Amino acid sequence: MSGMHRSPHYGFSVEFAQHRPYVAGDDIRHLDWKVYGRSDKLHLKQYEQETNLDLVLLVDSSGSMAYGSRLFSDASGTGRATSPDGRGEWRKFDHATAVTAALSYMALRQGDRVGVGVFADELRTMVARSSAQGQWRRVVNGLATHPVDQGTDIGRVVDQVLAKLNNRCLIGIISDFYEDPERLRTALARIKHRRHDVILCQVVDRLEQTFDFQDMAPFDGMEGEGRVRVDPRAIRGAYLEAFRAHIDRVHKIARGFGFDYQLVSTHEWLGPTLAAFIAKRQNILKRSKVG
Amino acid sequence: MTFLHAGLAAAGLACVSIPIIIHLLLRRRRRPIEWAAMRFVIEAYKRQRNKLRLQHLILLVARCLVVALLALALGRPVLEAAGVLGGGGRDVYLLIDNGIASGVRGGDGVIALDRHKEVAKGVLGALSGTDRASVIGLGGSAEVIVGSPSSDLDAIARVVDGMGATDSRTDVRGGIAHAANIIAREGADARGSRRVDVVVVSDFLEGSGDAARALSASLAELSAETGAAVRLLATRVSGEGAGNVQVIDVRTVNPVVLTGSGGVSKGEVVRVGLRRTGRAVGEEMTSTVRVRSGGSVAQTTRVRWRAGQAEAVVSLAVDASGGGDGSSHGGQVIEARIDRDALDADNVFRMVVGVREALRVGVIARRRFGGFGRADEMGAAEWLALALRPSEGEPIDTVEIEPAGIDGPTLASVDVVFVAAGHLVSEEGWRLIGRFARGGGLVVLMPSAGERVHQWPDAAADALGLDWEVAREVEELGDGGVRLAPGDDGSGGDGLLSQIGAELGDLVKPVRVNRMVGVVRMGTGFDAVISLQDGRPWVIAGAPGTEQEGEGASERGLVVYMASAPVLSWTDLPARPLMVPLVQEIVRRGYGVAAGSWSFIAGGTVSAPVRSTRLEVVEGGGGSIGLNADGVTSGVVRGGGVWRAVDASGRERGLVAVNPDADGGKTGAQAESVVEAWLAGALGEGGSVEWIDAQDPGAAVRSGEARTPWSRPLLIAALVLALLETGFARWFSYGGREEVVPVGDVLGGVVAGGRAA
Repeated sequence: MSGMHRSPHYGFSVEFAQHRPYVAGDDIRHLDWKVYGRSDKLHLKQYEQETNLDLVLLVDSSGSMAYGSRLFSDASGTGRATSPDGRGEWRKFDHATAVTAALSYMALRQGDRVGVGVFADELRTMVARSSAQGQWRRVVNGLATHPVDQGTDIGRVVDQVLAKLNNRCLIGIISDFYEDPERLRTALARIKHRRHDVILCQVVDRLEQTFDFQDMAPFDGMEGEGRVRVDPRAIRGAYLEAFRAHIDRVHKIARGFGFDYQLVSTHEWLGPTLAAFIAKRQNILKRSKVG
Repeated sequence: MTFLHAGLAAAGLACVSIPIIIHLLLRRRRRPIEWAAMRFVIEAYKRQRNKLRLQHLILLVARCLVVALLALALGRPVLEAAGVLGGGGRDVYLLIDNGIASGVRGGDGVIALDRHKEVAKGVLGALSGTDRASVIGLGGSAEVIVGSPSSDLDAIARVVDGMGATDSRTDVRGGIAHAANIIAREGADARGSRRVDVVVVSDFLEGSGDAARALSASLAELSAETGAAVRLLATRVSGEGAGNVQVIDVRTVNPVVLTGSGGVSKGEVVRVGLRRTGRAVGEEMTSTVRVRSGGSVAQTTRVRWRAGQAEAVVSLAVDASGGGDGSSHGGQVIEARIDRDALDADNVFRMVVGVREALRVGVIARRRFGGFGRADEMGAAEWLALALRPSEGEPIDTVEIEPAGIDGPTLASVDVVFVAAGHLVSEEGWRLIGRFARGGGLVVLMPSAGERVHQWPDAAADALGLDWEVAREVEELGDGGVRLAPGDDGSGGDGLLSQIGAELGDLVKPVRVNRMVGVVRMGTGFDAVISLQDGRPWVIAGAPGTEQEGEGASERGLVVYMASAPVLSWTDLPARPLMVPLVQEIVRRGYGVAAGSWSFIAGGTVSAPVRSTRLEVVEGGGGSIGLNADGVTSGVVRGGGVWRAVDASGRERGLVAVNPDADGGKTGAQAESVVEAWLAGALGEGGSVEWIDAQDPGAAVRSGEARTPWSRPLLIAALVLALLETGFARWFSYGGREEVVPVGDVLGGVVAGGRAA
């Protein structure tokens, strides 16, 4: 079964890719005798191998992902006012699982293998890669969990995931990335070293982007940072500046490794977000085939 | 700190806590927000923390100040004296002259005291609600009428209205001392926080203030001790004064009027002293003097004053026998009165004279039985009896007292005691004699004729409290003896023998003294009435000492010592014409001196006859006055009048007269510069007096106000601060200062992404 995506592995399949000089030990069945006849030099013919896409999606379930300011009734699209467990707000984790489920569904429909992991300070659950029928249901079941009060340890999670991968994969990390950017850089560097491709999908809430509070109130950290009593209007400027700098930093880190980066707001529909993602992937695929 | 409305001020200041309480309540009401992007909040908070703290502090201080300023403005604190805010209250001490001179009636018919009251009320009217006032009457001795300063100024005004003139001298010195004491006492509560004004309201006539006696710098010392800022204000000196004629003295020739057969009661000579003060001195005028004794018909005489004549004495004969309204137990009031003039109070003077049917004289001597055929066989008691009662009609009764029979009742029944046998008197007897003398009795001591050695003078000196010294042995003065001469204090104006002063020289010449127990040292307060020609005292007189040794002479009582026994073996006095008048004068006048005067001058304490417990008014103002165990009023008597002294059983013991203080009634004007310098003495060196205009008394008080109407500036400051607070709060709240744009939009859209080339 051949997939729609270009494999990162060059092999000897049906679609010619390039020539390379012969070295001792090469299989002489792949010698291009026509080239030998014209140039009296031995070259092997190489073909581009089209394989299935192994998509590994990692979903952040740390404490910060439990925040949401959007009404559940507005975001779910099902007409329900509350979640099955009775919540009235649409959390970042909800949005992340929705994105994950949608991407998984699309990949499975293309015959790709999809695996999903849920993590916080460590890998909590992992649905093994598969393209078998029923995989999407297993993925959805794996996502049916709740955020924990722990923070994110992306480095540890990456190590745990990489240990499970024996071939090159496309790794999608869906998180708010509220952690030290340097640790994120280190983790992504290890992924890059293993020649995997990565999509960073940073999920933020609209209120986190605007910090539009009018009244003074104490702020409790959701990952155990403690409580700060502050006038939000007084620190809004400084907050937005820090927030903006952090997002910009994450974006730059991703771009530095050549990875994709998506900033997703929980207040936006998934459709436009996924469409923009697919379109961008298609453009990249076409450009690589032409090249 | 004190406030006009302390409760309001306290409530206002309590409001300072309102913003704090609101702040705390608002903090508590906020529900915490669970926040995911906490790292950015913390980072922003750390970056803004110092700035936020400063802003909060500014807002808190501004809000608290607004409330505090409002409280201060509404409560109007008294801080001026402390120099913090200014505008504080004051304590005003009104020293109102209600001495005798305050009774002067001016040309407009208004009495000076009424003008003083109006000035005082004018001062009170200029005070505000934060001010307090105290009232001190200057009628001597100065009297604190309203002690602790009171803020009830209406009540103070009523007290001032109720003040009356006294008959005593104005006591500015005492008034200032009282004020200083109160200020010092009040200073413990509000040291330096209130200003103090001492206001002296007086005309400062001659009688109102003796400028020759400097005031003590009590106010200056007070300022130094307590830090109180004391001003001394005074009404202006009366430039004209007033013409005034006073009765300054009334006295009879005989201090005791004996009404028995042969007495002189029907024609008692009364001398009346008059004085003119003020403008009256320069005028020619006539004064009518009326003297009456009790209910008798007044005797009238006229005094024609020459221009420049200040004093005059007139003598009138009045019936002092009593029986009228003014008579009393052993006393009679003789009253001298002149025409009405500018000052009525000193137009009358009253004197209490003793009125007795007869004097009882006790002679302590050994009783001898049988007749005496020869003069040289007669003892001292016999000679004294003859001298005391030379004829049947003499108003003197003699009583023989056995030396061993001396007891209290016996001595209480006599007025005079002759001790002719001192060597036989027991120690208890001497003690009783001492008490008799101190109670107003006359004791005449003389040597015992038959004794060579005399030790009784020591016992007598102890009992009578005398520090004299008498020889113990009889001194023989030779065959011819020594002649007598008038003593230093025998025949003078008030001397014991003044009635026979003119003839005394001739009377003493023939008398020879052969023996005597001489006076070695006369002792304090004793004078020689008759001396020997060699100058040694022969008859001496003086007051007994008090019961407590070393406390001076008793106010009443008289002790006379005759150095020779009145027998012919000692002196030929009994056979000479001097004997009878000498004994008679010693008894009559000596008794008057010993009994003392029951006429007093207003402004001091008043004493009454022995065993009196209270004084009941007979004439004049006031009511009953209590007496202490010594028969003295516990307080000062300021009003003139006549009182009846009664004992615990209600029995009358005598009359007491209190007369106006004539010196305090001098109505001559004093120079303002002199008075100013005199008053300034109370403030010490460099002090100055501020004058009060009688037409606008409040002006001087108001001129001293360094008070700024702080309420208005405080309100304005509170308003300005409130506006500033609003601006600060708006500025610090960041409300509407920045458009809310999601960070993703700032980065280029809600969804931003891309792969590096």
